[in-house]
Amino acid sequence: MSQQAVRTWRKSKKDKSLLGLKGTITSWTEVFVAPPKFESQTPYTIVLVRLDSGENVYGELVDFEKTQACIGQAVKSILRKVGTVGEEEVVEYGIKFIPV
Amino acid sequence: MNNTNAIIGYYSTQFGELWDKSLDDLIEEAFHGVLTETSLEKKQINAVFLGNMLGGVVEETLLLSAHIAECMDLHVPIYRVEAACASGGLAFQTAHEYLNSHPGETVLVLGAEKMTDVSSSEITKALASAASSEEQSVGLTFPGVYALMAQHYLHTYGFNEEHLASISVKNHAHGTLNEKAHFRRLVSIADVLESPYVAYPLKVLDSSPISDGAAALILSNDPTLIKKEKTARVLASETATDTISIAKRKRLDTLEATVISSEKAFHKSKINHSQINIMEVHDCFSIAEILALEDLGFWEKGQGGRLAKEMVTSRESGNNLIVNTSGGLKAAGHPVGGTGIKQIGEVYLQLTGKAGARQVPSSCSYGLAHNVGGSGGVAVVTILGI
Repeated sequence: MSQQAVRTWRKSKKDKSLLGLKGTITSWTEVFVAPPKFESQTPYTIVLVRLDSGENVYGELVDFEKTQACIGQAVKSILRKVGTVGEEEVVEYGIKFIPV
Repeated sequence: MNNTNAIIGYYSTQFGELWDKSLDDLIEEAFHGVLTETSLEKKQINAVFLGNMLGGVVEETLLLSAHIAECMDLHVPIYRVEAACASGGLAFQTAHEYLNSHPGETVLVLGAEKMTDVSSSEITKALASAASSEEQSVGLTFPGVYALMAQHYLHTYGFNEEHLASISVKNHAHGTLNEKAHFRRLVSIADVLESPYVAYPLKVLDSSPISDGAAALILSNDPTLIKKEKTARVLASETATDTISIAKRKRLDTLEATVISSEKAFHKSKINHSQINIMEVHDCFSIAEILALEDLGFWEKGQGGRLAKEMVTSRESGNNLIVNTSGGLKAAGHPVGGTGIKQIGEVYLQLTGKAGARQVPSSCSYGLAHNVGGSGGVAVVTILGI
């Protein structure tokens, strides 16, 4: 879709301000049934994080031990590739979280 | 002038995987069905309100008002209302408001959805369009958003997946008595716990199914049509809204839109909680029924897990509040736009003694229907009385 590149560009401006921030997991889930864009990655873990600034942000939890997917776990935001896009589309990057 | 709006008839199609029916077929069946039920002619209908969510996304069908006009050969005003899974409830609420300023009129309120023409991955994507762009962009699904609320609730109040499973067990038991239900089979706690995960901790059997179906009601304030013994008065139909993202809310264990619309509805209807004997609540996922009973003000916050496991709202309980006699969204099925109308229709059937095999044993005078859009971005609470 032609507008996907524009959407990705617009979103990247917000993502830039969320990089390298610390926070705590307030809830999490492991997604088994996903939309087409994420289907090849199932199951994956999504966390809701309260950043130290007080803002709540969603992202995938990556590079973690099973026990680290838990409420109260400290995490840090990083930049990673998000989802699978078509050949003609712009590769998407966005915020994900790693345990600290 | 404060006139009375009353429901004078109800019809529902079968809910389920209806491969031989299109969206237009479902709408047409429900429309004709409710006219037959009430012995009304279509020229007596002054306006039509339709609740539908996914016509534009799944079927690439918009301007559904003109579809209805064509199917039914009508020229009256037709309003299509979209509020995700609360589309039906909000169509009813809108119709109720419309009638308040149109004395002596009669309207048809319809909810319909066609969901099984696409793959589960595609319908997952379509339903996720009722989640925020932030939720969608990280791969969160609609069950995923409810799973975040469930995890938080279980963690905060010390419950587990078995507490959630009890809701599905109860609603499947109720659904066996509903001849229009998508599923008419009992499930056990073990069945629920052994079903595959959709979004941890929610499993297939914690989740309402993908269903086709339509339901229709006739709502009127024409005194010549309102025959007291066969009608249910609309004492209140109230709606409230909240953020699209659950991340932007103060709490994850409360749907504030439910709390507000419930308070408004009880205030307007001038009845109290103990007078409600029959209730249809929005159990799109097992956790949602627990949150609903708490947020509507029937259970204290944090007690819902325990009370769910005790099945205190089961028709077998002998208690004076029975919840989801239709089988709820879980067993009756969840054609999203149709659900809100089916809920109000079920309360109407129970109050007027027309619920057949699933009629609750004790007579009840007041009932409530609770419909939620998205993860709580919209809620509609309707209170009926006879």
